[in-house]
Amino acid sequence: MNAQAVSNPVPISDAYRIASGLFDEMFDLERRPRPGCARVVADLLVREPDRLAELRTRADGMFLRMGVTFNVYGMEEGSEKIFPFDPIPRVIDAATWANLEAGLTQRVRALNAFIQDVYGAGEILKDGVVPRDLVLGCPQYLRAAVGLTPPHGTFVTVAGIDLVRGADGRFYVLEDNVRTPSGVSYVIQNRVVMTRLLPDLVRASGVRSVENYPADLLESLCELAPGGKSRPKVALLTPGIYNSAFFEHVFLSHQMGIDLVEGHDLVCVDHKVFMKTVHGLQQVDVLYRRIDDDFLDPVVFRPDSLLGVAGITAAIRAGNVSVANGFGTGIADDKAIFAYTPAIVRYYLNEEPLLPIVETHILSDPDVRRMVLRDLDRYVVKPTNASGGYGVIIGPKATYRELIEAREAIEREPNHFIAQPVVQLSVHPTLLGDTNGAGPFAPRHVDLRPFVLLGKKTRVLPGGLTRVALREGSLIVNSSQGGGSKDTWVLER
Amino acid sequence: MIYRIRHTTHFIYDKPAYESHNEVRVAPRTSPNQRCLSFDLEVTPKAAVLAYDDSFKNRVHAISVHPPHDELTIVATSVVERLAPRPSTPLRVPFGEFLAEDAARSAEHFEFLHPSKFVPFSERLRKFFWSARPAPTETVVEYTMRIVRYVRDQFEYEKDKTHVHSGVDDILSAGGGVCQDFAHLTIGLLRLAGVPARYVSGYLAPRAGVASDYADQASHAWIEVLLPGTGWTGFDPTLRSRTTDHHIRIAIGRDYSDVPPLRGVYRSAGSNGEMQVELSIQREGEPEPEVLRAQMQNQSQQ
Repeated sequence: MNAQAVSNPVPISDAYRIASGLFDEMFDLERRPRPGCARVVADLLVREPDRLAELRTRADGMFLRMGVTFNVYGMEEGSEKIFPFDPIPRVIDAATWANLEAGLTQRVRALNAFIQDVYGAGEILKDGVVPRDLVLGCPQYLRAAVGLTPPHGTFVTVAGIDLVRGADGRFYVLEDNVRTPSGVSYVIQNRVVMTRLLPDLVRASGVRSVENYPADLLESLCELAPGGKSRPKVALLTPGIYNSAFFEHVFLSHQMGIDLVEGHDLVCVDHKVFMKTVHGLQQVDVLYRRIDDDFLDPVVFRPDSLLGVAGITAAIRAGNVSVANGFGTGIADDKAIFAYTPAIVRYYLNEEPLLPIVETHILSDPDVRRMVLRDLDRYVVKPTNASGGYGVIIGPKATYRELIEAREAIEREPNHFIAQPVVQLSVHPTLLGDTNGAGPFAPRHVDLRPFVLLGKKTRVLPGGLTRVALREGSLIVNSSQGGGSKDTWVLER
Repeated sequence: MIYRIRHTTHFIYDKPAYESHNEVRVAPRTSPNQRCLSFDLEVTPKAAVLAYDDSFKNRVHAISVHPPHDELTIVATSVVERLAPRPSTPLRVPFGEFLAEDAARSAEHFEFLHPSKFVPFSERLRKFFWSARPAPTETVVEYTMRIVRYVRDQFEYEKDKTHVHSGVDDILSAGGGVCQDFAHLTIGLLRLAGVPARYVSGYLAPRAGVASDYADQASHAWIEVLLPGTGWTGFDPTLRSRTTDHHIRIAIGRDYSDVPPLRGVYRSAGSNGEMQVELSIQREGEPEPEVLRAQMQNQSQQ
């Protein structure tokens, strides 16, 4: 290690463009490394930039051998792809992380309290803090969840909160994911790969470990066991191999040492859930389900669903099994409810929100709608009941025709859309696909999805999934839309 | 008036059924003019039964039968005291005035003012509403009474034109239907006018010595309307009238999809499950009347 370079950070060469009006995660406006970034800059970007391409090639080979893949919906053939990996890690210094961690903990606790309330006493609706009609009219509001009381009141065991960093360097919440958030397996695998590629750099930097996540998740799941059973049987319920996150289901169940099951592996008998095994039926106490609510129980939801377990809703009501995340959690991550999340934090915790949210306009309000439609090309328009970046219109990048269509769709069903000003996502040095031109790496937009485990203890996985938009200027980082990922380093000091 | 009700649902399968899971809504609700004095549910073969209240406070029984069985019988026996509805005089609020306070009502009674699964605000329904819409001077109760009669004047009671999963568009195109369809259509016309309306499933007790026109309907359906001043008030669009002490309430919801008497799935190697429903409603002190029978298909095979 070159101690000199760390204690006395050198600016990056002029070939790297520091864009004005964007927050660069690694360099300040004087082109000097930000806190915690000096060692990575010195070792990886300044000393041996030509090595980066080789690192990426080796990383791709490792991912392929490990079988770390995902599916893209809407692609006919060859649906398994590796998630493009960028070898330049994203570094978050300890002080910044401490603030984020507090904000995330607060937020997920409040969202959980909201779900508990909405399906219970409904105090927040009576007090008019969140409009009752907005909640009841939301497709994610699940009547079948009314009156459910999961152990310890935990509806949200796993949350993935999408954060973006604005030009001011502050983190903002872009959206919450409290149904079946995915991506954590990439966090763990990215670290495995990075540790193999750059063992000395990882060690010398003092990067906080992420390898405990599966054990922590299992502990949170076990806490949900009905009647506080001490050694509960836990299983992971997957919709099967065609799901975009199937790899993750395999990975997590393997890491936790629990069974990976599909709906047809389970059966309800006398309002208890059993796994069919070669030794007969074995009762399941906790199901980590990665299936959407609608498909979980054909008795209550879609009678045509073959993915779920008939009778599981009654088994949950009988208190014989717990599911994580609980039923109906989608009400808390609906994009229309999102505008009310700061009020939700204040209402349940009596605290000021530590994490601000991206300004969000609800288009059912005629005045707001008029304001947004006037300058539609300056907003991001999102449908309120879809996920994965499908159907999102980014005003400044949209064609005239796309804007006209968006306007018509909004006027037809204003309740189905929200608008947010275009957030200039922060950028991070990222290795380019082809290296002719300025240099081997250039700034690309990134976001961050940290993972929060709620239970008796609330745990935030240090770091999270940094997704990067590989195309120049692109703001969409979803893996299904051509994004890649980076290892995210939270430093111990 | 006290009624003894015996509601039997009987399934016969051509090949054994197994892993059968059903939810039934057959327990009469206790409400201002009705008390459920006793309720008993008997399932053959032996089954695990879990009772809970749904989001509309209807009593639901979840029934789980795991081993193979050729037949499944669910017998619900209840004793219900039904009082005559108290005479009430709703406030005479004209629509112009009524709609001025629409915003608050819209939040409080959202679920009974908005489209629901079987009552979508379709183009067809909107057109039908346009021809019957209230004038600003018409009072809410006048409009309600007019609509309750209007729907039955326009549509015949016809058994086979619609089915259990029909929505408002089906009765509008079929030109006729049964109590469920009349209820859905009336609810649609009320909701479009901004009047909260909900669906009620229940039993219609036959009048002594009077043969009912609707004897083939084991179960009946009507509506309740939130009228200014009197609160939720029952109307029977099939009979063109207010509800009486012959209407026994079981469950309320946005439409039929919230309150089916039975919903469930089972597995079987066979292809046919036949459902028979028998209903006997006996007024205390009178001889047991003829049992009403109907056949339906309400379980899905997995």
